[in-house]
Amino acid sequence: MTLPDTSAIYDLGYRGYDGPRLGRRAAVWALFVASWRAAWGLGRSGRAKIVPWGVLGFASLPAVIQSAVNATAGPIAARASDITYDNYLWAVSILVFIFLAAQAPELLGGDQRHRVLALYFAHALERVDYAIAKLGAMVVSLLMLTIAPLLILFLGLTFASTDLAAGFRDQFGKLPQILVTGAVYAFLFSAVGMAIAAFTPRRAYATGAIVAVFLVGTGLQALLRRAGGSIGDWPVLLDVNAVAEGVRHSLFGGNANGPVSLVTIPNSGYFAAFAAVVIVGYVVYFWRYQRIQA
Amino acid sequence: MNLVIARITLRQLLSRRRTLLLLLLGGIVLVVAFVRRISGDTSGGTSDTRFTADLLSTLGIATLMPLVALIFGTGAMGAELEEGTAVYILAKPVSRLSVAFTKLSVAIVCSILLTSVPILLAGLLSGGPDGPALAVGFAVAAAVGSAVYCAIFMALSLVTGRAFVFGLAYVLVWESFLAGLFAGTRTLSVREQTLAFAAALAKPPADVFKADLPLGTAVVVAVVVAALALAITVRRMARIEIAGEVT
Amino acid sequence: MTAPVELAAVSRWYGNVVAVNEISFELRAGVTGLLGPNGAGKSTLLHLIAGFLAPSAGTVTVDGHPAFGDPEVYRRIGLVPEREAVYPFLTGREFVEANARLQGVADPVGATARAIEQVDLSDVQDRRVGTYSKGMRQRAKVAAALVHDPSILLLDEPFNGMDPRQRLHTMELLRSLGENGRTILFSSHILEEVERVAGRILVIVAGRLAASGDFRSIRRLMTDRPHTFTLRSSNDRGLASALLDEPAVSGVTLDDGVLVVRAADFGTFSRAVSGRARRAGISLYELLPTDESLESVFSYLVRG
Repeated sequence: MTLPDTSAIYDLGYRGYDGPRLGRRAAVWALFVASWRAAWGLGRSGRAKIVPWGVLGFASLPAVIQSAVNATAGPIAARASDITYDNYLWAVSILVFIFLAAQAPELLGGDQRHRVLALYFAHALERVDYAIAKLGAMVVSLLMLTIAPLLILFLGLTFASTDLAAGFRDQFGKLPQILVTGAVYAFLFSAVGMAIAAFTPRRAYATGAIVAVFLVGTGLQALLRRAGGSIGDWPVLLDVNAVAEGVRHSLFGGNANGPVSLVTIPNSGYFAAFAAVVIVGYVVYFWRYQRIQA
Repeated sequence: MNLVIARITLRQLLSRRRTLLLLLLGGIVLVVAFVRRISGDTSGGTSDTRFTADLLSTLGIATLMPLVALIFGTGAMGAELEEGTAVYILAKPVSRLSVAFTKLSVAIVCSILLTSVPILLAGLLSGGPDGPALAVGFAVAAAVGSAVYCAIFMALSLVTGRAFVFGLAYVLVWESFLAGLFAGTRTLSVREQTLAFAAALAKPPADVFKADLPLGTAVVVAVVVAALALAITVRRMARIEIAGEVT
Repeated sequence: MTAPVELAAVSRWYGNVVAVNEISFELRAGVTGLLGPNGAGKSTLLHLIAGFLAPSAGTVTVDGHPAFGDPEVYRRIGLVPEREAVYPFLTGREFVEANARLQGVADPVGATARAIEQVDLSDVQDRRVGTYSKGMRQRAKVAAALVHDPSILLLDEPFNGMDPRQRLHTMELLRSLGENGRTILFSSHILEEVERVAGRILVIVAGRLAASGDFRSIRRLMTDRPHTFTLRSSNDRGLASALLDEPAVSGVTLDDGVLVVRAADFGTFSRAVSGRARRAGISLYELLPTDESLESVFSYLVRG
């Protein structure tokens, strides 16, 4: 009589996964979150956090100071201050630009350099998904950078007024300007920076190229305007910062900043330039990721 | 001067993409000059000469020259050090001075081609009565400035792996930002030295263009810095350490 | 007379990490294999000899002169580095010829042709190196290192990426070069390669020299680990019981018709076994040491 065979050998090797899979949406979201975290140096060493958080800190500093001053000296100080919603972003735009020049290559360069794009595309992620996720992370980061300081200012000015409700009503009207201006800068800068950074795995070169585009644009527009002739004031549109400021000024008025205050071109010029740069930049960016060799 | 190294370095530096981008940059200077020329409009009170001097000193000397020199100066040795092909140049009975000098010379020649030529042409184009003098003066000064820049950036590439970033930081922070604030830093700014050479060579009237640095200082500092940079390059190359892959 | 390459108590550290730890040896004419697991320090050692790293302690001399910081030493040395990158825009021939010219070879074109012939690269020599497969690139690197006829050849993982035919060809090349009196050192972590080409081996483990010499003699030095032998005889069972009596024997296995004997001391055992067999009236057909392979030597040394 044979005993029932209760012994067995267990296979501890590789097992497949047959459970539910989350699919494309989840993959894009995961990449977006991971990229956003990379842009802010989260989950990385302290060195990676210096630029992003330093920039945010410095950009918020004037708002914090202004709020503190208001709180102590009262509404009178607010009226007399130099720091307003109108000129804030113009003044700190160089900081936003530094963030872009440093972090756009950080987002896009590493994957190209270490040739991991093939790994990404072998998953549920399509090429366009990768591009969207990365771009989304940069746009959201820039939005944070352009809106947060202004929100601080908003809160500071609100709470400084003796009548909270009235103060809030006063400042509330400024909210659209805060949000829209921030968005303008975010989309414009990201279009330039991401399109450039997508083309080279070497981060230093991408940073240099972004710097070059901004610097050359600024210098060029002044010279070309002086060159005179029928070209008139149109060269001002070569300066990325000026385009952003021009759009803001056209929509919300107030004092114009920088070259925009020196030139006379129709508002439609600024809008056209904004649309052109954003469209061309994004198209180039997406086209690059359609064609890049993974 | 080692011809084999020169040929290889030349082919390395003048890759198609790089050359086109830098030509584009130089082309921008020409475009501005061209626009000025066809508009012939001196409204706003700027004479052609004044405009040319401004164009050449800002777009030419302050933007084009450092960017071109940065790319060629750090690239002359940088690519090989990063990829590991430096072994083929250095595992040879060739004196380190010869290697450094050859590579530097090639970098300088490439920089001059893509800097001084556009500057010369732009100066001639946007003209004015003093145009040719300005054009030649600035072009020659740019050649000298490029040489000093290339020497510095090449030395940098042997000192650190991130030479490009540091070079960029030097140009942006030291030469643009700090030199604007602190007059003392101008002595050590290659840009200011180059402008001093340009003023001395082109001899423009004071209201058109004036350099901040006296010529004597500029010459001395430029020569000393360039020689020091070359010495650092040779010394680091003689005692260079190249490890294999991390195996 | 000084050996072509001499290392005396050489150490190399990076901060807290010791890559090479008090290594001393001499290299003479012939092929020596440098064997060790990944991360053991093989590349570091090769680059120390090639003058591309300075020893933190000790001396590295090539033909009596320190290796580091002296470009003249490269007249005598040919180095094949592990890094894959080679100037992609040059053709194979241009690359080897550039090396020849930089070495100051009298007839660069002729020397190039000979070197390319030696590594069997003639049919692709006019293609750009950027289009080469990994094996072709390796061969180009070997040609570039040979073109100036160096007396010392250093190769870092030279067979990486080569297909079997290329590998055999290169092994044969190294063997013949070694027989011609050149001093050749090549590193590998693949035992079969080293076993086939090298006369002497250097085993490096975690930065220390674990063993040097001919690998069979190394094996015999490892007396604390029993040798195994396979025997075929006219009466395996009888021989097995006869051998159990023998003090030199530590274990006997009769497995599937194969007699495997473990003996502590090779010399004593081999002397005893024929006597035992004769006294028991058994004919010995075959006596094979079964673990005198580089693999067993190596795994013993690595496990330390």
